[in-house]
Amino acid sequence: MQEKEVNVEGKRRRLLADVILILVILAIGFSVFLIVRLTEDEGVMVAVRVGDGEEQLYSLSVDGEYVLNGGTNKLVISGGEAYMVEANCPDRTCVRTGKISKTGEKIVCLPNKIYISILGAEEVLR
Amino acid sequence: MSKLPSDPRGKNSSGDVGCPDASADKACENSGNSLRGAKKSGIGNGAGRNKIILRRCVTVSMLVAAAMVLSYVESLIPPIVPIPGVKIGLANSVTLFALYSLSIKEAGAISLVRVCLSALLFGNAVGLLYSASGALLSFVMMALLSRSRIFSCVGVSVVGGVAHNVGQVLAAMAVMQTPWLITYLAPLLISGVIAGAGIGILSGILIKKTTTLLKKLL
Repeated sequence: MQEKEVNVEGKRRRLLADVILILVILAIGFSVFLIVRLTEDEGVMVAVRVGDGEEQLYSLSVDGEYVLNGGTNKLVISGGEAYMVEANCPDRTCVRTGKISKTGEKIVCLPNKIYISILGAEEVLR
Repeated sequence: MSKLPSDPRGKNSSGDVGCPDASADKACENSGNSLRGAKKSGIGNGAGRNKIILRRCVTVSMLVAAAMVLSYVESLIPPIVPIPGVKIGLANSVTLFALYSLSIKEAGAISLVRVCLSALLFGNAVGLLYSASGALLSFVMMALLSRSRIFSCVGVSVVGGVAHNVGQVLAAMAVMQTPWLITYLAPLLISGVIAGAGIGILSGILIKKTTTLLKKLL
């Protein structure tokens, strides 16, 4: 009888611990999200890096199409926005990411190790 | 398992068929270890021990198979949101089940074989790096927490899901040399909590329903 009570008590304690854990992780997630949102700015340049290579910079105000990584991916800059139009990987997450134009926004292709980010005026001057 | 190419068995069993055997071997070894202890204390005779070893082997092998099916089913589901790393983690339910119903060693063996096999069958080499680091971090956290009994299996599953995503982001940061990928943690933490809680609730029901049956069998 007493053991059963202890059991119920333990269950309740673990449920509370679960709920607190979930709330704490969600709070961290939302605060990271807020920080990213609050610090974002209009982008000026697009930085493209393939693997461990050097960063290539393209201006967001110049329209163009760029073939990356020897043809595995294709990046388009048009109307102040950058987006991926072609990828040879099966999940095509980078294409589905859509258009990016604000600082902090990025397109990532994990299989081909491509990392595209938007730089703001401050970062470009530096 | 490392058979020489001249070995006839090594020839007709291709790499991906060889792996499940490895898991079974390892499982036998594990239960063998614990049963050797049992022999010392005078419990069980030879035939009964072998029977239990065999049952544990079969259980672990079937769990590997179940995890592979779940990995395959998950690979068929189109990505819900265009953020790399967001997934349901169906196969994690098998690891969670093994952690609670079997032992840490057996759960680790299942997890290891599952990660290697699904990379071989459904993924690529770079994908293996991300999923392996995610799975490693996730497994260590779940193994520790499942034994500490601070959280129920839902909490353990949530930590597992989140740790998997954190491990992947850390690996991606290391591979691409860009600390700014850390902003991906925002959506990944949230999706990890949701997926982890769902899987945890399901696994909890499964563990509860099968406890008596497994006790009888193993």
